[in-house]
Amino acid sequence: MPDPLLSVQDLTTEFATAQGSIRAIENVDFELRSGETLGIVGESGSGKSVTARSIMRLLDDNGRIASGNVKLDGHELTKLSERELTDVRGSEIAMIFQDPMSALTPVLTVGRQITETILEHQNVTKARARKEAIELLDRVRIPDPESVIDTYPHQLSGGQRQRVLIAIAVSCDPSVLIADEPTTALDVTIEAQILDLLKDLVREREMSLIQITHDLGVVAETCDRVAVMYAGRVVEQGPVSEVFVEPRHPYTGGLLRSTPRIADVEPDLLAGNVPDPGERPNGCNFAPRCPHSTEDCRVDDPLLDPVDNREIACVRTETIGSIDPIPDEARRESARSETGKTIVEGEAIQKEFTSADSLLDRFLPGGDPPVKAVDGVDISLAQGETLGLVGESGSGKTTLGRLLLKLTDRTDGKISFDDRPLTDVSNTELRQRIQFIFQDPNSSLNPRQTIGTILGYAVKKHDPAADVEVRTAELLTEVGLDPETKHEYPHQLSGGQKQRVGVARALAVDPDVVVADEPTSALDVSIQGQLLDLLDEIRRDRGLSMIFISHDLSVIRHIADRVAVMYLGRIVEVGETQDLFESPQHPYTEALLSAVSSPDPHADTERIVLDGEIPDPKRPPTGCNFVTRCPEAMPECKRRDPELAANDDGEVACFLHHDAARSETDRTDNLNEDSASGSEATDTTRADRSGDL
Amino acid sequence: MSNESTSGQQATRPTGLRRTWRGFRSHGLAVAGLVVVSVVTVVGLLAYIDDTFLGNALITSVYYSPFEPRFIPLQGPSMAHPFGTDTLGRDVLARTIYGAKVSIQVALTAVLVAATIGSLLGVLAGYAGGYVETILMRAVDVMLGFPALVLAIGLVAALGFTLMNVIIALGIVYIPQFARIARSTALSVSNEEYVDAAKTMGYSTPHIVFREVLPNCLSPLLVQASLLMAFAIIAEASLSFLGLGVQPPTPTWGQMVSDGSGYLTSAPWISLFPGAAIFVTVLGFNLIGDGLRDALDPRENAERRF
Repeated sequence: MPDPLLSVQDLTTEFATAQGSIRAIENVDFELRSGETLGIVGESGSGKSVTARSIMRLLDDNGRIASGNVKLDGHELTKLSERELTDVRGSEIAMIFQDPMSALTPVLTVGRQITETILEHQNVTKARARKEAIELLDRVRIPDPESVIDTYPHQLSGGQRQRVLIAIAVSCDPSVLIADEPTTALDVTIEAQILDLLKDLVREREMSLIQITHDLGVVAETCDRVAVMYAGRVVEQGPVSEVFVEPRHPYTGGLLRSTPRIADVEPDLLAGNVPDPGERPNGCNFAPRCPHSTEDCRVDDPLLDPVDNREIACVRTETIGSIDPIPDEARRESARSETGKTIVEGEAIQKEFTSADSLLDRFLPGGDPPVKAVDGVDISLAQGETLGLVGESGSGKTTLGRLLLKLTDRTDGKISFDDRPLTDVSNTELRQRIQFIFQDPNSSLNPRQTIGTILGYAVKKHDPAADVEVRTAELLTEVGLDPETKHEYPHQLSGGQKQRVGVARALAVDPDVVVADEPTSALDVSIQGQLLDLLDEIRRDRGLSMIFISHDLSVIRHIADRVAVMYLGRIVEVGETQDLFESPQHPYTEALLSAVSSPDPHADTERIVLDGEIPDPKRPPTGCNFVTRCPEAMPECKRRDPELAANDDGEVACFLHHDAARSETDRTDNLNEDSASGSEATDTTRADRSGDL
Repeated sequence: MSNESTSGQQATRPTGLRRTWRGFRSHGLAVAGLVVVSVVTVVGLLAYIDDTFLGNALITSVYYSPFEPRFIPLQGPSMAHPFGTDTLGRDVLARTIYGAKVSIQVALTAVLVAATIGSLLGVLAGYAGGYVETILMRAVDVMLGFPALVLAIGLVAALGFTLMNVIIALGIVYIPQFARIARSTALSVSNEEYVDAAKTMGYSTPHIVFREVLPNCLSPLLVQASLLMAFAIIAEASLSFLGLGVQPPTPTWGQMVSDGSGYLTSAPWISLFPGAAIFVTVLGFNLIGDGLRDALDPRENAERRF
């Protein structure tokens, strides 16, 4: 076997904190061979980012490498001086960061930022560097690189910025590229594009790539080998095709089993939380959560031992054997809830945001056109039903949710609640019957109030006569928290616990409808599963109706009865969850579904990667909104806007299906007549059809 | 499902107030500032009690009266008179001690008045936005247009030279400082999800303003208050120096500096000691302000390193 390009041995990094020094990663060991892609995967707090930063020596002031070696091509990196390091960074190892929004300087043009790196490491003229920068932009598949090079970062979308960052990273042909969650901040269809790009770059330039991610799907799709990290240690590493198919460490197995999949299986959840770096247990860090742990596990930290083709840090590897990564329990497809009459109904809802701030803007012509965040949406929610609202960022799903709660005023359209127009429902009643669960548990709880106070206000507001203490305790128990949590402040709780408090607050008023806006997107996989189960349980127990907003299709599949897919302010497809996931009709739904990466490395990798990005909502395309990216666009689509029309498998806004469905009906309607005039779709026939079905 | 609550319990992490105190305590200079300010405040309070209720009995029983010119004028510092005597033969130390009364009284009350009114206006403007904000903040801008001291002089001149009027004048002058900080903080706090959550719960506007928004705006206001306390002491001293503040015979530091200004070459102690008192107190408040700012900074470990 050739010498590894990058080898990390026994790397331990510690941080100084108020509680003394804490080891974020301990004895991390891995190797990266030339031309290989290594995935480092783990939940938050597992130390994967610290590992990357330790390799690059980019630790904050309070962190340092305590021991261990990092060797790049035989050269030790941990001993280099800052000066020597600058030569290595960029030209030998480059890094791509998670947040493309903050990784570029807003005051310099994209071109300046790329050429800067080139000029720093290569001896070339400015003109030559600029030419190279344009080539790089072209290489990372940015359309029209000649004009993009002179733009400022704020003029680019998130996906394009990430491409620029990749261009900067590869500008000096580094031999190792470290990508720290490069796609986490991006939408699924954009993520698919970026992952494709990285894959191609690695192949073209013969780079080695370290892909750091919490997403098992990304690893399965892009990596050759994987190192699974838990609580600061590597617990299992080996070829992806083996580790993800036959995991041997209980944590790897648990992680794989608890990942919600787009396929029809019920995730098997890992209990508990990742311990904080200062609070790691004696012995194996995973022992308290491990279903296979015995007393032996709690004595010493298990070492990373080679077993067959991989390395595993578990004392009981022999006994446990390999674990099935897919839980065998099938989805409770009976899940379709009992539904009653329609409780929330919206018709042609519209919401426009104007950017005209000043008086002058309002009176001068030629300002920005308004952003149509929600553009004529029909929606209905039955009692006891869960409607999943899926879409990428900018699709208007959150705005729609807020409109239903009157948190934002709508521009046009009708919303009725309980058969009355929303305007007739008093604010007090509305607030007691519809509640909202917020996305970010870190910002949705007032940091200056204890949990008891937060819930107490809500309980009192709903029923001034209630015994606050008793109700608070009941609510906390209902969401699976210890009633004593009421003495805590939000910052003393973990993300999952905070989100539970958010749920408890929403439940405090005993609502009929709950709008949950991405309640799990800020949480780790295992915690996310626990929260979803909780929501599902509460919904059943209380007979709640729920609108569940998410960008994550596997989460939606897990919880929703019916799904509405949104794109650029419109609903493009609505259907029963199973129908929609198994036979998507709209090309956008199809693309979304295929963009979700599966943690099974042998899964069918034939994916539809959409070109381009969501158009500017200020200037949507004429005709169908999706026409600019649709792989099946027809001339018809540019002329007219398809409406949402019903057929056997739900409702879809696409001419592809209007026509197909229509010619089918034509055939049955005119069975005996020889009619072939089914090519003209008219609004009246479509309206008739939706009435029929 | 409840395993998360048991394993994730972290009872050891201190809560807001205690954490702030810990941060403050580790800031050596801030603690020194707190000690100085505490001493001055206690002295000022005792002087107030002595003057208002005991008819100067306390100070005359342990030392000399600050009012009676009983000694030979213009004596230099000695064992009998550590700070010397002034032009009329009064003990400078006794007067400096009594001077703390006015300084502390003015600084505390004026800043309290300004902080209360200013913060309320600012938080209201920041939370409500729209016309409320425009009207309130433009009014504040007009006030800011005047240099603080000039405005104070004008107000005192119009109202009359009494302690109460000095407090009122300085209280008004410092309102804009608090209003601006409160507004910008309230603006960002209002965008937090917990404010949306409060609206979703149907809480009343006063509830949202006082329970949700205001408490989260306090940190920067507290820092500003301690810094303005220092400014208020200087402003009061300046007014007294110009003869526009509290009138004699009540001793104030500014007035004493003014009295001694004609004798700076022959009897510098008359101005020097009250001047030093102003300096030390102002420094103390500034140090507290700096310490508070660091302690209230959410980036708790920002300065820790190996």
